Amino acid sequence: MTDSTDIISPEPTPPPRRRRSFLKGAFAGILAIYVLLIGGILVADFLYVAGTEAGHREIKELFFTHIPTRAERVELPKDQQLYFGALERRRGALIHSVWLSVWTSALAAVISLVIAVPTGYVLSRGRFWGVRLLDAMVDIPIVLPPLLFGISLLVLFTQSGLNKTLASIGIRFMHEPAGIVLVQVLIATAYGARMLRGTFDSIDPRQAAVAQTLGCTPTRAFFTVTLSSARNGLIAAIVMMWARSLALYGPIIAFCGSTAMHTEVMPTRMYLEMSVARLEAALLIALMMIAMAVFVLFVLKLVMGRATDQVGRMLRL
Amino acid sequence: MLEIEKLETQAGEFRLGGIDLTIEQGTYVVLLGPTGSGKSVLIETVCGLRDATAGRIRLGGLDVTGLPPRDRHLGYVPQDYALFHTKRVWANIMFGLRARHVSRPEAWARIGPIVEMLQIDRLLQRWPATLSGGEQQRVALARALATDPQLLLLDEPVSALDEPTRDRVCRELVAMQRRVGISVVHVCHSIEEASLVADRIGVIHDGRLAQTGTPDDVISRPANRDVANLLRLGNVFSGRATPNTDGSRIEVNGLVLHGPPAEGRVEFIVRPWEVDIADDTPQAAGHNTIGGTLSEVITAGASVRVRLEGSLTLQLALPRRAPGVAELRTGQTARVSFDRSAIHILGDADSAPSE
Repeated sequence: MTDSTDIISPEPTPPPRRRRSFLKGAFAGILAIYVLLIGGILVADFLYVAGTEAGHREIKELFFTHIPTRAERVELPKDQQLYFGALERRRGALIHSVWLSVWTSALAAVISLVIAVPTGYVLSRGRFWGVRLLDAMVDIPIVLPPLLFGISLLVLFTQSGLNKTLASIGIRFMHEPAGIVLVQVLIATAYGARMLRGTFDSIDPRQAAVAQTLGCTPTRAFFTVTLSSARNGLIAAIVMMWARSLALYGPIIAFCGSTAMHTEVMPTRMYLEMSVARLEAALLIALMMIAMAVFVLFVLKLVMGRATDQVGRMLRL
Repeated sequence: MLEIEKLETQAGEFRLGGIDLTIEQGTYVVLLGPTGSGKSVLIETVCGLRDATAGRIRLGGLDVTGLPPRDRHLGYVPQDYALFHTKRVWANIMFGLRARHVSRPEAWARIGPIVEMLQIDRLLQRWPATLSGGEQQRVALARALATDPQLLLLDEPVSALDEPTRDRVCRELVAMQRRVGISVVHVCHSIEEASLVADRIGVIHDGRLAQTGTPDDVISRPANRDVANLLRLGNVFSGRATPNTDGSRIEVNGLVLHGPPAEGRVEFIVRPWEVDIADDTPQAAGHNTIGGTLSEVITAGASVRVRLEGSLTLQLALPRRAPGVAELRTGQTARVSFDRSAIHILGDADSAPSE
């Protein structure tokens, strides 16, 4: 019978401590500073809106104040009639700008995706003369200041007669919501195409080649294999294009103006609020845009994961 | 089965020219060539992924030169297998059947025997990225076989695998080919790999088919210097041959060798495995003997690789258990001998491929 204490096991030697990598630490530090800065901005916005009297008043007026109907307002004193009238217009303009931002940026993201996918694919796989020139041209909306892009678009439409030609067949872009989508599409597509070019570069073209030998047409091979493999790139591109579309204001003001209840989107409204020193109103719109962004990112991640497969199924691929 | 007739194609600056090749039903053919020689371009053209600029490709008697890849009924396994990483293994394997509108239950039934043969049933629910190289290779093979192709084209199918796995997979490929009875074209750049699997070898060099034949034909009688260099045979020399009654006298580096019949300026190889360490017994007529210093003695498995520096620099591949081999040391002087039949006269690199 051996007592367990008889077995003398040597104390395990602790392994030598590995030196922490300087590079990893430096990278983590840089990331932390960047994230803290962004987080700080968001917190500062939130605190300003939620913590100042002006911010409180803005939130209360826009979201919680009951606005009497026009019939009810007749009974009220003149100054209150004017106050509620103005508040009703402001609230209406805000709601309109939110809705306009939502549908124009969503539509622009979808149209941009339809253009960016083939553009990115051709730029990635194209082996023809001039592909580098095309590549550089697609980058122009990225390098050009957005405001200048809006002005250039204005010049194109007015000086070339394009505006009149299109108007004669009932299509209007300048100073119209359709113009907002046009501006958004033109700028956002460049970002999406750039991202998708990188995505297609990273996908082995032999996958589509194998799919063709297995019985697919080139089109089917593209949808079932290449596009399916590009899923993450597609999500990133659509998020980027939607975010770019949502955030544009300079070229929209230049090409479409900022008419309340017509062509005023959230960023242009925010810009105009800033220009009349209503910081709390501008920041409130900023916070609403952040909330929208978080919601859309979440939904897109849920939806887009299976979107390409569904396209494949719809086409019986 | 597969007949390639004067096939030409262009891939950028590279031109594949005048390929004539016939592959019989049920044979395992290896296309052997160095990197950039045009092997992959050739099988991509056979697949229909590249357009032929001239010539004809016939499969089972049918001219498929102008047909799209999907109508050629070929199985193609590219380098690195190109598995569809967003689809599970089972979806990869039945992809071809689904693309041809086979219902899912029927597709499951049809892939069953292939899955069983390749022993990948336990992998079906996995994602390709989680598979080892050998497993990926078997899945790619199953995917290619699922549509019951007439011909299987394997582009460097084992190049991504480590050496022991490569040998095992090569044996499995041959076993699979024998079982299914399908014709296989296997592209590689290693003669060792080719010898493991091939019924016949086609050597491609610089966009041209330099030689076709059985592995033994190609190794023993390389068509020209390019083929000999590709096979890493060593012992390639140039000399001047004068015919005599028994064959020829070949003058090289001041030496006179007894060689097979030849005349004029010749390039030739001395087969390394037919050179022996000379003993003191008198050599038969027609035997060549060369002295020199051993600059390299390397034991590699069952054989010993020896390099002799003398009037000629000769490589020898000696059986490890041959008399006297165990005593060989680097730096010692030695005499080696070989018969005239160990010399093989090489053809002109620009001549037509030889059998």
